[in-house]
Parts: sequence; C-alpha cells; structure tokens
Amino acid sequence: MDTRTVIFIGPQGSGKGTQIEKLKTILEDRDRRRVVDIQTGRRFRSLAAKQETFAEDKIAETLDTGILQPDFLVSVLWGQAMVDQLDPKSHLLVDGFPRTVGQIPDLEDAFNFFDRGQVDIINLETPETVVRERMSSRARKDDTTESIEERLRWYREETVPVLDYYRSRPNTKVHDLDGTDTIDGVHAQIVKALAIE
Amino acid sequence: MEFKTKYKSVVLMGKIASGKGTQAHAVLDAFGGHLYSNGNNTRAAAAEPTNFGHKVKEAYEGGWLMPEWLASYWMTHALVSLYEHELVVFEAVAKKPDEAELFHQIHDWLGRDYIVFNLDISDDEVRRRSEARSRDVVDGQKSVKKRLDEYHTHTAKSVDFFRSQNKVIDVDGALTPEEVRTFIFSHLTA
Repeated sequence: MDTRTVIFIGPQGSGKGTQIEKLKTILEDRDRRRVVDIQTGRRFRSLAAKQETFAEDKIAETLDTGILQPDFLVSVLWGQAMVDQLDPKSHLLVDGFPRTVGQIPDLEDAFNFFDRGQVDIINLETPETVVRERMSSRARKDDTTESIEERLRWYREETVPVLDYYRSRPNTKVHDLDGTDTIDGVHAQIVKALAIE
Repeated sequence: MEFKTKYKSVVLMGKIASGKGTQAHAVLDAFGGHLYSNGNNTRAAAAEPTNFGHKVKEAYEGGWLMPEWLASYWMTHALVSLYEHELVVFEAVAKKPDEAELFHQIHDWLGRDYIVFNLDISDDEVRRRSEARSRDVVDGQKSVKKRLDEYHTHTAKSVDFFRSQNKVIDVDGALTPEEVRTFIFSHLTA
C-alpha cells in the first residue's frame, strides 16, 4: 500500500473522530506501519484539561464558547505532531485543520517539506439538522446550543471553501461521502473510497 | 541578574552588520533569559537523529531556505510552551511582515509585553562594516547586496508593522557598541 495522507472534513458531529479511529485500526492491522493521527480538537481538549500554563488556561476559557482557537495554536499542535512523529513510511490522518482557507499555506508548506504531495480528502456530507440532533445527544461540555450554532456557521462560511481549494489541487482526490449513514456504513464507504481492500 | 526589565520579549532588528548579535548578547548577559535564533534552531534540529532532523539537515546543507511553517512553528512553540515566564531575546526574527504580524498576534494573545530596537545604519555603513569584518561568505559583496535588497523589500516592512503597533525604538546604529548598549539598557530599565 502507498503511504496515505488523509484529511477528514465535515461539520462537528459528522463522526470524523470515530471514523479516524476505525480507519487507523484497520490500517495498523493490515499494513503494520505507523499511523500518525492528528486531531487538533482532541489535542485542544487535552490541553484545556491540564491548565498548567497560561495558554492552557486560555484554551480552557474559550473551548466551551464555540470560538475557534487562533491559527497559530492550531499550527503549533499539528507542527509538533509532525516534527515528533512523522516519518516517510507512516500514514497520516488529519482532523481539525485546515479549517479555514488561511490555514492552507502553512500546511501545504509542511506537506511539501515532508514529501506528502498526494492527498485524499474524506468529505463527510452531513446536513445541519442531523448535526444538531447528534450534537445535542452526545452531551459534551462544549456542545451548548450557542456553540453548536456558532460552529455550524463557521463551517459554512470558513471550512466549505477549503473543500473548493482541494477540488482543484493537483494530486488530490476529494471523496464526497454520505455522513448520515451508520458508523459502520460510513466506515465501509471510506474503505472503498481509499481502495484499502 | 544585574538588571531587570518589564518586557518579556526583546527584539533586535536591523540590516546586516548593524550590531544585532552584539547587542542581543549584551542584553542576555545583563538581563538573563534565552536567545531565540532561527539559525540555532536549524543547527540543533539538523543534529537530531530523526526523520525531521534528516530533512532539516538536507535543507540546511543544500542551502535551501527553511520553510516558513517551520519558522512559525518554532517561534510559536518557544513563546507558548518553552519560555512562558522567561525573557526571550530575538535576533533576526520577523524578516518578513507576515512573521511580524504573527509575532505580534501571539504576544497580544498571551498578554506578553515586547519591545523592538531598530538598529539603524546606512547601506554605505553596512558595506563598510561587512568589508572590514569579512566574517564569512555572507560578508562578500554579492551576498551583502542580496541581503540589503531583502531587507528593503521585506524586513523594512516588518519594522513598519511593529512601528504601527507603537513597539519600535529607533537606535542610531552608527554609534559605538557601548553607546548603543547604554541607550538600549536605558529603555529596558525605564
């Protein structure tokens, strides 16, 4: 199997984290090489839980409000993961960035540095009504009504243009998948799209 | 330490041979803290026996410019994680306006006060000093011209950005190193 670089895009509650875990499991099982997964949302929640530094306190303060963290913090999280973990043979799974068109140039620069020109985009298409239902039922602390609506607005206005960028990027395949399917159903779509089996 | 300052970050900016390195070390000797230098970061990373280290070494020895994301990553990591409570002296940072804006944005977010000393010397003085010191190939005539062009094209705009944020203290770089140091110290301790 070729080294894969896969970026997951979809609104909050579209199941990106769950699907990354499932994909990671089968990649590790079938390919026996390292899979680096960088999920900035999860990393932010972990930092907010620590609250040992000023930055961690500030992340904790804003995490529950739906306000996105500044780009430089997002960059330092994925930068650190790539610097520490990425090698030429490892697969790379990404969730949480680029979340805006402005975050793309740094990531492209890094992909160029690490020789990761070939990219797959998993676009989990999930209508807002489905997202609202899922998020209100998962009862996570940062899933208040206000923050859900704010994140949905952000997704519409800031992240959807990121997909447009990838549709015209060379060496890139954008896989538009039905995010309303069951967890196993979406997983099967991903496996098929990436031609893992 | 001999002196104390209210600033958490001190930036030395100026053309080649304007005395940034000399003054950065003078500040560190008197005020303590850490020197932040992309050159030092690059050399340290290139010595690491990791995939990342090998990539950096390849770029460094090939004479290629370090990618911009890496400079941004190192700077953000230093400010947010490594030296949260300590003084950091920056030599040759924010060579381009984007980096200057990022530098300001991080400091603003962290509530970290900083000051920029702009060591001002003429292009003729740059050429005279470079020729006199001939430290290495970068002091050659062609390299000096290229670096002066880069300064006027990019770095001068970074200084303008910092100036628009009321962060710049202009220093007459043609003064003796002792006079420049006294001037800088007077602002840091004010």
